[in-house]
Parts: sequence; C-alpha cells; structure tokens
Amino acid sequence: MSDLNTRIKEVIIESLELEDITPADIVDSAPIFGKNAAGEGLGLDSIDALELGIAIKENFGVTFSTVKEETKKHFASVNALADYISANSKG
Amino acid sequence: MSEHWSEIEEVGGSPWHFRFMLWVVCHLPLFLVEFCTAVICFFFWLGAAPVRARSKVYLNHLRKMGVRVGVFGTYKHILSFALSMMEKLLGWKGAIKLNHIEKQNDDLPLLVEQINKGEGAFLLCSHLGNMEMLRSLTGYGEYHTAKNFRVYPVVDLSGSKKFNALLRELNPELMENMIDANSIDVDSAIWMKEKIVEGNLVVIAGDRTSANTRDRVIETEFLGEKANFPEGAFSLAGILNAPVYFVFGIRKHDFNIRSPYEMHVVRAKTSLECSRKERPERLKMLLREYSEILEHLCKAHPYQWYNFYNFWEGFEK
Repeated sequence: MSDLNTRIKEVIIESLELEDITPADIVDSAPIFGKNAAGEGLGLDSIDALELGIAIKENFGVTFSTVKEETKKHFASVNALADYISANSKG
Repeated sequence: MSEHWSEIEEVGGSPWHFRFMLWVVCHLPLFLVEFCTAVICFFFWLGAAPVRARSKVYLNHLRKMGVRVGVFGTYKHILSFALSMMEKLLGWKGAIKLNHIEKQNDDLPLLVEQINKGEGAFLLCSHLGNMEMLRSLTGYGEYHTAKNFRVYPVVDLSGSKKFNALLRELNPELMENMIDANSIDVDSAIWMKEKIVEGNLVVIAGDRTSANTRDRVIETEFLGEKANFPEGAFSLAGILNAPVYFVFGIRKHDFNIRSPYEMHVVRAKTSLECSRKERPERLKMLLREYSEILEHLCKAHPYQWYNFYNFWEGFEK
C-alpha cells in the first residue's frame, strides 16, 4: 500500500513538474487540489487535474468515470487515489 | 451589461419557430430565403434593443480601429448571423455543399500534408464566419487529402439547446462527433489524444470564455482593448500535445448563403513543449498569434463575427 502511495506521489511530482518537493513532503491524507484548513495540500487546479488524470491513466492503467463529483472524490488525497487505483487496476 | 454570455437566453421562443424556419429553408428558393430573413431580421432588430447594444459594443471597437461601419451596422450584423443559421441548417441537411473554397496562400498545404501522413492536429477556430466549413475538409477526400479522417469539434452546447435539438434531428451522425466542452474530463481528454494520434482533427473555438470555468481566462489586446479569452481552449493544445493550427472559414460575400468560402489556415509558431513554469508565457504567445489573425479577419469581414455579448466586459474604460 505505501509502495503505491509513493509511486502515486512520484507520478504527481513528475507530471506536474513540482519543484523542491519530494514524495516525503506530500501528506497522504492532505488534499491534492486546493488546501485544507490546516494549510496542507498541493493547491492544484482543474487543468492540473486533467493532466494528472492523464498521467495516472498512463502509469496505472485505471480510468475515471465521467461523473465529475465522483472523480473529485478519488482525487481527494493520495490515500483516496491509492484506494481507487488498487480497487480498479487489473492484476 | 454585466452578464456572461451563458446567462443570455437563446433567442427564438417555441420549437414551432424553428420548425417554421426549417420548412422555409428547405422549401423555398434560396433568394426567397434570404429575402424573408432580411425582412424578419429587420423587425427583430427593431425590437431587440439589448442585442443591438451588444452588437454596437463590438462594432464601435472596429470603428475605433478605422473600419467603416455604417448606421445600419447592427442590423447588418444581426442579418449576417441569421443567414449563418440558415446556412448551418442547409449544411447539416446536406443541401449546400461547403466545398466552394478559395484557398489563401497560407499553411493549408502543410495541414493537408500532415493529414496525408496520418498525423492529426489540434485546431483553434473562432466564431467568425462559418466554423462548419471545417467539416468540408472531411469531404475533401475526393479532392484534397489522400487519407480519410474525421473532425471532432469541442462545443459548448448549453447556449443554444433548442437549435441544437433541431440539428440533431437533421443529422444525428454529425452530432455524435461533438464533444461537450462542459464535460471535458480525463476520459474525454485521453479520447481526444487518441483521436489525434489516429490522424484526426480536434477543433475548439478560441474566442468564447467557458460557461463553467469563467475565472480561467487569459487576457490580451483585441481590437484596441484588453479582453478575456478562454484559457482552457489554449491549455488543451498543450495537454493534447499536438501540432496547433488556426483555422477560419469566412463567407466571401457577407450576405450571400451561396457565397464561396475563404479558408484561412495558419500553423502556430509558438511551441507548447516547455516546462510547466514557462507554460503561462507560451500560452500568452499562442493567444497573441491567434488574436492577431482574428483581429485582422474581423476587420475584413466585420459582420461575420458572431459573439453577441460584450467581449470586453470588465476592461472598458
């Protein structure tokens, strides 16, 4: 599980070219888009989301439903994304 | 006039109006269609003060740029738009051919060559003239391209629901190729990417801000004043990572449905292959290229730009 989390973080960093950020800097439960009350989160926006989504699909082979609200849920945090990927990837 | 275009309601009331329009278009000779349109438009023009006012904002910008626009400019603008609707219906019905094209001395051969090689492209079009004319490219098979390909337009369908329902009825197949701009997500983005890799064209208009994400805009000078353009349309070019072309199809004679078309194709010089840090700057350059061509063509065909809302909202002095 934590392996998957690390890989997801690497994909996030690589696809969005986040500088000065290592996988260790990303909090598993913090929001990927925007920030939470504690100021945690990457503060990414919807166009970033599209690019990240494409990178996730290319790296993990999972696709996202077209229902927007649901997709948002999967992108809530690295943990949520990991849950979704492990539940939906074949093999 | 602090309204976004998506808040302006579609003109034309009942489905009955559209049925009538369709009947007229299909059964009367074209010169009569044009005549009827001119008469109906005159009364519409008299009654529709808000539309007149919005049209005037645009025409005044042109005036300041030295373009001659007469006192009946707003009427001509509305008439030209109404004719383009007729043109669209006839096109979808397959009643008029869109292949009377006058090529310019530009990058069209480059695009055709690309298509022949089986490579797709991302096209930025506009609300100037007839966007549908692009579709005629697919009918090009016989004349211009050696390879078959399809055109997939990304369209905001929310603004003209009734008219679109009619179009769907006329030609369901054409409607299927459309991608709804309001529901672009990971799946549809990947789908578009694949379509381009397979050698097809994806097209989006670059001169109307998105109804959904109004805050995602890039500004640039247009007809002498700053205006907002949709960031999404230009970002998509980077996301899809395909060669970008600007394409414009304009009726040579503004008020004639049977007019031949001028087809303008320009390959974008700005490359979006860069680091993300550089990207905002590159998008601005790409937009600048686009808006300069659009401005030039708007000056040549002032009545064929069909954006009936205040394009310069929020920037006017």
